Amino acid sequence: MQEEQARPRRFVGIERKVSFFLLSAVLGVVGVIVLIGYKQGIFVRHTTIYFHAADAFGINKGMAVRLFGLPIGAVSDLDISDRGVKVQLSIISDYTPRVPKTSRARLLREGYIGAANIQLVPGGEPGQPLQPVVDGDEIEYLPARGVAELVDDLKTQLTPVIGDLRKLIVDLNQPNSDFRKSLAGANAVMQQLPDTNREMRQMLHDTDATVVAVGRQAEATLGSLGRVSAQLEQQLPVLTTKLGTTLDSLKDASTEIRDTTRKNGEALHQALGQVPGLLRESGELVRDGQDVVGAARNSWLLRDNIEVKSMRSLPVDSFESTGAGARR
Amino acid sequence: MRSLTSPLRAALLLAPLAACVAPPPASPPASGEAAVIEANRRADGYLRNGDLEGAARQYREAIRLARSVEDAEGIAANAINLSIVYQRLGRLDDARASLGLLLERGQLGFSSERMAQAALRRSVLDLEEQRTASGVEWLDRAAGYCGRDCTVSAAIQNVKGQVALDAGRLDQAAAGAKAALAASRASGDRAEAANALRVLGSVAIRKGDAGAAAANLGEALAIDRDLAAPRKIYLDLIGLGRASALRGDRAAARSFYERARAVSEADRDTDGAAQARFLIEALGDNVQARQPSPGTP
Repeated sequence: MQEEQARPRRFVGIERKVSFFLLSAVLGVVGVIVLIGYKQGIFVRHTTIYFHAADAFGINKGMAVRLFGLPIGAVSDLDISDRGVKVQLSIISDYTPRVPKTSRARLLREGYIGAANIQLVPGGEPGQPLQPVVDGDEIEYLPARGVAELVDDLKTQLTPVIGDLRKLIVDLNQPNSDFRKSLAGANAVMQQLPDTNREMRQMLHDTDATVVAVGRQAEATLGSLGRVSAQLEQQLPVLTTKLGTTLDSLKDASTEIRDTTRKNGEALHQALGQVPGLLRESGELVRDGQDVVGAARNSWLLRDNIEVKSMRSLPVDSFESTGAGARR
Repeated sequence: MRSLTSPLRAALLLAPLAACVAPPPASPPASGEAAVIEANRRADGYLRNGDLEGAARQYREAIRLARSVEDAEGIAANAINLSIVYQRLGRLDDARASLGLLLERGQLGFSSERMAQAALRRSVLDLEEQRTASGVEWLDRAAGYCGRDCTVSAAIQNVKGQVALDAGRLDQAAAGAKAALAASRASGDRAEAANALRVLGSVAIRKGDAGAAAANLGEALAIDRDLAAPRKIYLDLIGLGRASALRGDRAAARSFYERARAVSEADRDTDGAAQARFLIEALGDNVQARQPSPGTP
């Protein structure tokens, strides 16, 4: 008993200290929870609206909703419905007077590789009273035309052209095509040329023999003709040899033309196969060029020489008060 | 080689310092304002190509964008532009409605300059429809909005002069036109100076002073030719023809009327061409009427 009564002085009021410590810890945890809730916006009043999209590609829960570039809310829920995907937007209620019922939503990307977000586009005619959205309203969704769709459009337009060119090449390569028939005909003519050459040589040889025979019979009277004939006999083989060589060269040339045409057709086929890739690369090159030009425009060397766009007001001309001027 | 590379190296080192002393880039307009300017520029392009419907559509879009971000200057500029386009399309009620954005009491505050322009435009629309009382009332309001450096003070004086001329008050018309001429010369507004000279020329013709009329209208013609305004050139030439006829120089009058006819035909202004043709024929009849008949001593 005496030991209990002689409690050390440092434990005097220990219950109060422990209680104070626990209370401060609890308050700290509550404060952190409240702070996180405040940052998450649970103390801000939100208005929920929605739209239906055919698909939810590119749309994520938590994605920012922007009005004229300002974040005014986020995608709060995505759900499959009979009309596609029901996308629910949670908008800070302070901004709803700026969002009329005729507004439309569209998926927009900041630049070509930036983050995607939902942009609200207020609709309605100027001068008409605009009724703001209220909780549970549905707005229209404008499907975005992305770069892939633009490329697809280009591809759709180019596909028939490429198809026609392919068909043309296939037609050229077909054995029964007019082009092949023409080449075969030309080849046949070229192949017949040596026979023609041979027959011509034979004819010349016969002529030579005839001339010799006639020369024998009328050697005395046709001596001069015999000399001419001899000269002709010497020169004609040279000429016929040259003619044969020329015809052989023509045959080789026709073969080369046929090979070259086939090679060109294959090269053209390969080149057309590379067209879509080249178009894609050229699109990227144009975008890069636009970025470079934009950066150059902002550089200190050029920006002072580039006119800043400003509003243009038409002149208020008193002449239009006259009947003659007003009609113009 | 060393002597060449040293200055080059120094210049390369100084180049970044030169960038430091360059003025900072002008801050780009806010995204909302940039969209308004973009629509305004598109409308301007349509207008230059003569597509008034396209221009009106783009000005309406610019107003919508400006209203969505409460850009008072954007609303005012585009609403006034839209009223001008609507007037040229002959849609005077729509022109008045577009000015209503400024002239009817609203929450946004517009500058007195823009209010003066809008009131003047409203006056012009009313005068075109022969609503003289309402036109004069809006003209007075425009003058009330117009401060010291108001850009439309010359136009207001010119419209006052034109109203007085139409009412036959020649002295008031001349006073208004002279005030407009002084104001436009002070501000360098050549179009309004030419308008003032044209009113002064008309006053002089009505008073029978052919010399003063020819001088004023000749000066107006020179300015209007510089500004390439076919309809104004046409009216200057018609006025010069009348001044010539007034002093009895029918050959000169015919020449001016012929020039007016050529201008209006080139401008596809069939009414103007018909009027010029009528004046030429009337001049011919008068000449024949003044020819002495055979047998007259």
